[in-house]
Amino acid sequence: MKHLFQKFLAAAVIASASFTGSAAFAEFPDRPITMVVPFSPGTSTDTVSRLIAKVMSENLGQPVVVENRAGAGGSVGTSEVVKSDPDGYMIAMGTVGTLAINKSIFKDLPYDPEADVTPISFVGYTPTLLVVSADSKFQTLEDLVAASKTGDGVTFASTGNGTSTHLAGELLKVLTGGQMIHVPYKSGAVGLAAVMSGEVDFMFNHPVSAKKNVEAGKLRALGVSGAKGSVVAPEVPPINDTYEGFDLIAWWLIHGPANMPDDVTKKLNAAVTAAMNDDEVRQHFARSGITEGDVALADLKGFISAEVKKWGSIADAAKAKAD
Amino acid sequence: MIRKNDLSEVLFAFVIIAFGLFLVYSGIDLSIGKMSRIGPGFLPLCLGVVITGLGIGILFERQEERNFGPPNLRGLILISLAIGAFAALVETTGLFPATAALVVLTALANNHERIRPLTLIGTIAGLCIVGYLLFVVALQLPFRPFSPALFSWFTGTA
Amino acid sequence: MELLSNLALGMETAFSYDALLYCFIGVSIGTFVGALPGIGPMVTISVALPLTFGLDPTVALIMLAGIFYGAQYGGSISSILLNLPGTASTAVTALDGYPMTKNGRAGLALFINAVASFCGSSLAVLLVMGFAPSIADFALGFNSTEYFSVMLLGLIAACTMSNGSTLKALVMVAFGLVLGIVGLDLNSGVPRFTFGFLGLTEGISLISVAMGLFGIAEIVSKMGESKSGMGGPEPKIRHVSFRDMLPRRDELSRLWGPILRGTGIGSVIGSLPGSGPTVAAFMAYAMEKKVSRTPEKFGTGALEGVAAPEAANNASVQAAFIPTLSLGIPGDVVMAILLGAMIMHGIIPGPQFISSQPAMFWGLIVSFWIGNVMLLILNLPLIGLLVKIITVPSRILYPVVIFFICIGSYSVANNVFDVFVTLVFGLVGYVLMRLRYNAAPVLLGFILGPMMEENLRRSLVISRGDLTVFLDRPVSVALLLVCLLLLVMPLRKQLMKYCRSAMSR
Repeated sequence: MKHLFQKFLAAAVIASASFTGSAAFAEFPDRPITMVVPFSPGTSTDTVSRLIAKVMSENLGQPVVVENRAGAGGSVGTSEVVKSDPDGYMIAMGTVGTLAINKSIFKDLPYDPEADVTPISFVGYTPTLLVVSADSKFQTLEDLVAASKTGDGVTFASTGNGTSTHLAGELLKVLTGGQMIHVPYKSGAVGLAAVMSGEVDFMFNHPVSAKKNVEAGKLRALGVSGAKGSVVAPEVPPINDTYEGFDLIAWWLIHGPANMPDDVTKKLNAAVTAAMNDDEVRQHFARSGITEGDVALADLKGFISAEVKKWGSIADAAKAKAD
Repeated sequence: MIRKNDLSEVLFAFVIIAFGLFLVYSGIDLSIGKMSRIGPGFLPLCLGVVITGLGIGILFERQEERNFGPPNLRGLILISLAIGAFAALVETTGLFPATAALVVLTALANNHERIRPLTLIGTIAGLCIVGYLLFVVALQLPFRPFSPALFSWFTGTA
Repeated sequence: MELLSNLALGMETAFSYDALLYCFIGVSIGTFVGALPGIGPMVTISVALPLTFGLDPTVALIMLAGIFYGAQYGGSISSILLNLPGTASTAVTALDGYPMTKNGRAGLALFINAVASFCGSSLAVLLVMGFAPSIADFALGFNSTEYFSVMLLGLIAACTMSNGSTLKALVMVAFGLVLGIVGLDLNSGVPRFTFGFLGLTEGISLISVAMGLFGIAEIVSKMGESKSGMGGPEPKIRHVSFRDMLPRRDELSRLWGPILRGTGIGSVIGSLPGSGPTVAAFMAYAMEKKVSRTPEKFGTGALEGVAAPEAANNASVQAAFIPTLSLGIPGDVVMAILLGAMIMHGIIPGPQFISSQPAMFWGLIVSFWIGNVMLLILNLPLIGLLVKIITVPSRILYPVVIFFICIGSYSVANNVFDVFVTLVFGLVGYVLMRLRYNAAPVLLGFILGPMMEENLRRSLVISRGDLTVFLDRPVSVALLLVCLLLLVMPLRKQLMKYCRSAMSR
């Protein structure tokens, strides 16, 4: 109850502060910052954002409030932030989806991830695991690819048309030239269940939930999507070792609208960096198979452009246009 | 045989048939696909055919007697305005003005029970307080009581 | 005997002071929030999640789970009293619960709600305790063909749901199916019927449909009725004594069947990932109407019409923990959030969860039991108070209800667009109500349609277009046979009637 009262007081103070209009001269940040998460609560992006926002709040002396604005593969929330004032009070958790894949999937994407965004800080990345059922006849990646070239081919599950798990399967198809039939599911978990039961042959899945089931003897991992391998499953070989040119990761990146002042960006960047060094955040990353960011602030624009191009070419190859 | 009361029923049956035909058209437009990969238009097409058929059936069906009064157009329009006003105002001017607009318009819609100004103000104040504590403080919905844009509009600093 | 030692372990965890306290906090918040129209457990759990960081993971989960099943109890309250589904899964309860209120039996309806919910959950918890691993395997054995057949069964059952014109009921089911199509197509990524609105790409929100069709339409029509003086009877309001709340002896004996059947359906449906409590409630209702000797009473305040779906949706909520905990596969969005919560607390559910964290698993299960007892104790005395809500004069009640409808539809995705969508459905609902189209089948079509289409298309993709795939698997064949039976039975009745009349002539 006391907590509630304090919050109420804080809100009242904030309300009166914005009334006086003295905001322009105070040092950033002098009021709460909104971090938009363009996905539903409980998603991995949401969990990561909430943990980082918590530490950022302590660091900046102002609350960083997480707001979920899901819709259209993250485009709804992202475009809201991109259209807001570039004053640093409205930032977003961007993903490989919102800042790279969506551009080649949605014809009328209301923002351009290269021109309309000021990157603030890289957060982290994770590769995915290619898994098959433990009862499957495929012992190695080569078995799977060989089977895809005979008869009816093989099937793979995804989390929907134009998602990273779909495009990863399409890239494998392009690189190996086999017959791989796409079977979309509503969520990764339901798709994983279909792989376990043998309804679908393989799937690219988040390493942690896949790994748990590998350990329990329900799944077998045949490859890692990232060329550098996975911290969660170091024993699984990267697909890139066999089929060169296969290097896909899911990543997170905090950003604001275009044209943010440099000092504000730097201040936010420092707060995120501090959050990444926090014990709780580190533990969570380790548990979730997320590798901390290794892209410097100055290189982020180039990173986004490169990712947009990479996914764009896969999407073109797969003709996965959403319109 | 069409009774006087049934005119609206007949008109609505035509609306249903039109809706069905629209679905058939969009289904074909969206592509029906083939058996091994059914297209996005397959279900709309099927439903369109079914709905058109049902609409024709309803046209010839004997309707039961209806026993209610005239439609409440006044209520319908004012409730729509109340909800529309809330939706339009809540993110632009803030939760409190939006709530006030909603309560006033709903009270106007309800013309069989007159509301005294004091009750009106009491309801607005009560809802604002409950709404703020419950939804903004406790459930953390992204509302502000008054949006900053509103202040700058008033003071002319924007 | 292993079960007993497990239970002992669970009790040790669940009867600790902290666990009891947070269980109570969880279920109380859950009931309260669930009772607010349209504000579901999802918003509450995602807000409560960061507050639980400091707690022991088991205690945190006990509380978060309590919010979830507590909301199922509360959700029915506004369905019964105001025809406003508090959570999507309780929309079915409004079908007979609200007519009971109109007949002056609101107290009894709430009583049945509490007792059926309690029985449904507790029995389902027993099932979870005894058979969690085998139920998980059963659920895994369900392929897209079986899913399709279950959904088809539900849909056919739904067509028998409403009274009055069958053609109108069928049109409403089809309309619901069309609404379910709106959004990005999962298979092709093509937007369907979004008319260029970004807010429609992930589909129409169920809350908007339910609150528009039922809530807004009801309020507008009530305002009209009272003015013209031609409407149906106003809810009879009188002092509700404890005796009014209790069912008569003959009524009591009619309740056991629906509750047990509802629990059975709820447990099976709930354990299938991806179906959820709403489907369970609808199926239980349709089934009850099928087996009832007085199906014409459904929709006019039949006790069975409240008991069966309430038992089913609560049972399915408990059963839904099976795939989540034992496979790491969440059945719906709320389960996904709970899974997220476990991961944040450093626990990753999966096949080894039960054996590696026995204290936590059994503690959680025992806490479900405790939580349900708490909910029963919490809800029964409140009935007398809750019934007074309908005595609030309409000049105050209506603005409050409209306010909650607006905020409820907003809270689904924090988007004002959804409020406008609710408004549109309010207008549609009013027109339908005036023309005697029962809106309830719309909801079922809306929920089942997308799953049916998804699984049909998936089955055919996997079988490379071979339709016989539906006849290859025994469960699917059995389900399809039941569908056929349901379709043929009414025809046979008609035919016999026809033959008899022909013979007598």
